[in-house]
Amino acid sequence: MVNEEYIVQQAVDGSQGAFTQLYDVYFDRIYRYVYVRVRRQDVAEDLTQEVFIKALKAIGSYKMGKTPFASWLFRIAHNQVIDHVRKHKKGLETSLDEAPPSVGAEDPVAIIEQRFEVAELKAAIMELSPAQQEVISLRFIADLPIAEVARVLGKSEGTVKALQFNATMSLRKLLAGRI
Amino acid sequence: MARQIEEIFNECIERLRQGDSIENCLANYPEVAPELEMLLRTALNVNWRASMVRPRPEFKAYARAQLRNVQYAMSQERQPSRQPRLFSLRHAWVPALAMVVILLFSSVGTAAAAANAMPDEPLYSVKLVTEQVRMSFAFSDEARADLNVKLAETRSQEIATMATHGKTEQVIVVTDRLAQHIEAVEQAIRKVEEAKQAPPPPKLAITAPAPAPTPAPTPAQPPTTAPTVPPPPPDKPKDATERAGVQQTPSQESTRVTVAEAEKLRRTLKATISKNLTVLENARDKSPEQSKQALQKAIDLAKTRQLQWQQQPDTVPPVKPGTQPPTTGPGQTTPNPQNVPDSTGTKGSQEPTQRPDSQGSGKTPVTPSPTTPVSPKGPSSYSPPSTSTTTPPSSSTDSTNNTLPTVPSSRVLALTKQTLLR
Repeated sequence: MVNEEYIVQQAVDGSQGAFTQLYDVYFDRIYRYVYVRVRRQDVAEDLTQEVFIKALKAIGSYKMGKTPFASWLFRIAHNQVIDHVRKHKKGLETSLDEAPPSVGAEDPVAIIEQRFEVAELKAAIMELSPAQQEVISLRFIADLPIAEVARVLGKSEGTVKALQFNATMSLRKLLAGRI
Repeated sequence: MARQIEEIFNECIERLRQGDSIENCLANYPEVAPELEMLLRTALNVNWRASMVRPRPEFKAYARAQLRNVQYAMSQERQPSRQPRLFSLRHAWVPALAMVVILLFSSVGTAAAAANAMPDEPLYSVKLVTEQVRMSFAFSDEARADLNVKLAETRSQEIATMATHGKTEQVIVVTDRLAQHIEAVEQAIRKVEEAKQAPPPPKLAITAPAPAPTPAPTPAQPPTTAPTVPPPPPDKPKDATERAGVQQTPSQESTRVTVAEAEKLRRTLKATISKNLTVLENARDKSPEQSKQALQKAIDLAKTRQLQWQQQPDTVPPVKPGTQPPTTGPGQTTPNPQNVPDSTGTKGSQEPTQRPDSQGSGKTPVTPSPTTPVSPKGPSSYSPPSTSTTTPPSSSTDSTNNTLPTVPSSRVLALTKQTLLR
């Protein structure tokens, strides 16, 4: 199996096929992260697409070994979300007629149950502070290591650990009885 | 204590990421086990709930196709560093070099093999390059338009094959290329339309005085009669213009030549679109379900163009000398290029190629059909209200108004993409 570093190097050297491989690997994770942050499917789709187009245009300037590729990519996603939040602060309110998220299940009952689980998660995350939301999204949803979360957010690892702990404590209360 | 449990919690999260179990972590830290367990289960629950969120498959396919478009555009943009030299000597050695490349390819059979390559095959890029080389040999607008007509047929065959094999993504990408070829032909015709409707030059009667034979010249007397027009050659049949007493100017004759070319292109394009439509419709029954929707959009594209061209007369009426261009000329019926959606599908200021509304958005897309041609009202419901790329219906349905279809291919393609991912 070809390791990711090799594929990234190929993409940096201009291989479109290599970039497409990275796109396939990270697409779902980036979408998931963006969706949880903006909480709207249509916006998440737009932003996810923009993240990869920006990454494609900037991949030539990516420095191997300096930053893990995942951190670099999620940094782009993070900046996209931040830009969007600044521009559309009111648009982040979850409306009742919002399209439900697309979930993996095919059975209608399972689809409804999964959408309910996701809706609960969205509601719980909305109760956190913005900094806690960022940490939880990158740590538990994007599944990045603590060092990479710190790098993406430009914070120290200690700060990120504290935010992670406090956010989890809050979520424990918010999701009580549903865990 | 708080600091300590933060560290323990983070360490356990890392261990869980590596595949360890909650029980093992708790066994290592019995003093904080109850609280630690709840925190770890909360973290796992958040991760589990988030894992249910998945992008829609249609959006994934669309986004991938868009990425390909951007990749293609970027690869084209990287070429301009060589272009100044290429263009400066375009007619000198580039065709010769291209010929060498073609000969080289043909000698090893690569080009021949590539000619039948499909979009999902490695040699397809060679096929596209070969087509570009052929395009570089087409020096006139007419030759380029002819080649674009042929390439449109090729693209239709590719769409049909890809749809039959269930390659939805390739169907979307090749439909984009098909629209570009049709657009190129229409632009060639449009150029003729614009030349035809340009104001004619002054009449020859003013610019070409001929000395009339006078029996007895009187030097002191100024001429009292206007210069007369020389009679036409006896072997040349008089046309309506000449019968009206006005001689045709050379520019009008050249316009007539290009109008004839435009008529030919019109007929060829109409025939090609009909042929493409047949190919695509034949493929519909053989295609798997996942590709049928994408194929249907290609069919709708062809049907829309066919309907619009059927509303156009086959012949272009000759230009009346001295008449002004009609008020509904190309400047009004031809969409402003700045407002036309980008055919590459990249996101522009108008965002016409933006992925379609997701489920539950409340918008009902209008799919073009043979009985309901794309009207400015229907598809534009996807566009911002300020977008004014269409003309009033009266201009497109007026049989005497010999203008191009009012909806450009790129616009139709954008609408097709929007309805595709409904």
